[in-house]
Amino acid sequence: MKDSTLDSRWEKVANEMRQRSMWMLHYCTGCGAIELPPTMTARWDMERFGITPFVTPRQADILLVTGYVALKTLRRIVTIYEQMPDPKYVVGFGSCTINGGIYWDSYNVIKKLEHYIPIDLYIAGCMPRPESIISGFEKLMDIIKTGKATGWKKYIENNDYYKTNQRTVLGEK
Amino acid sequence: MQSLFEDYKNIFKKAKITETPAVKVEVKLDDFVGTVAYMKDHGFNQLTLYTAVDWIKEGNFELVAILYNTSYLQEIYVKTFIKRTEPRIETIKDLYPQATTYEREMHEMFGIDFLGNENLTEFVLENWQFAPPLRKDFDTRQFVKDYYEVEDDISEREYINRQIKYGRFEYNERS
Repeated sequence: MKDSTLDSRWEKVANEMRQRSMWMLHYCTGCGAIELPPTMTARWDMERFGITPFVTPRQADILLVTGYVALKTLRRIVTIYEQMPDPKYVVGFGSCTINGGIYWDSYNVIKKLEHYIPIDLYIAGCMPRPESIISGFEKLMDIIKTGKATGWKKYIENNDYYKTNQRTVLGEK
Repeated sequence: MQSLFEDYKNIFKKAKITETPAVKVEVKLDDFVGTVAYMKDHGFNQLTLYTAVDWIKEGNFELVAILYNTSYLQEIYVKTFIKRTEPRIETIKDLYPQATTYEREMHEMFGIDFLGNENLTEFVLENWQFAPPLRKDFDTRQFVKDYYEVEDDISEREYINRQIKYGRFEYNERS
């Protein structure tokens, strides 16, 4: 059997396992974090899908960016994202990560998060309800299983693009 | 209040005093620190707020200090105007230490210099290399266009329609 065939078969098995144990980094930016406690706790209980909050980036699989990202926050998000081990998935949460939301003309809030780190899935809404968060996570499980969640590979392949954008916007030329 | 202002009028003759709806004292630039010191001597022991307003048509910054007397529960506004072209004033951090932080914020957001305050360093913004952002002549929309590369020529709905057309958005089949 060829190595590439073996790799792709192993990848299928690995994806199957990855989609069932997603640890979410509990890092809260903006106002969206307020929707997470009901999602985690008894009423909506996201742990039944195998998703649980975790405290350190070294052990986390998902980075939830909950809400607007100021320039000051972006620097921390990039640090955290690079600390996380592969494979890692980013979920943009709320309209602020998509196009700036109500901060569309603010001088200190970035508009499109996908210019700076790769996003696998967006959950739209301002704010999204716990139901839509759960639905978003189900969708994320689907795309991990089918191998479409390749944001972390994109970050390695197009590292120059992301790094240039980050440096430009943070003023670190 | 009457006895407070009787003495006060003798010292600061050019001050404008209004008592309704709130007690306001509007003074010349040179008398500002003196007025604040006078009020502190007469029981206004708390600095509630110290902030600036940009009146771009008149070419002035208005500085407002809100002081509070905790024994008589009385509030007073002390105001002054400084020119936008030379925004400089003495610090009041020796009277109220918490003014250091307010002055630091005003220095960053409006570009006002406070003489005697050495701590006017970076406050909220990190690595900011542009004009002070809360000045009225800072064009935020132009800045956003130049700095954050937003698609501005097509409307949001048109943009989403194109994304759907090229298959970049997927609908959730279950819903």
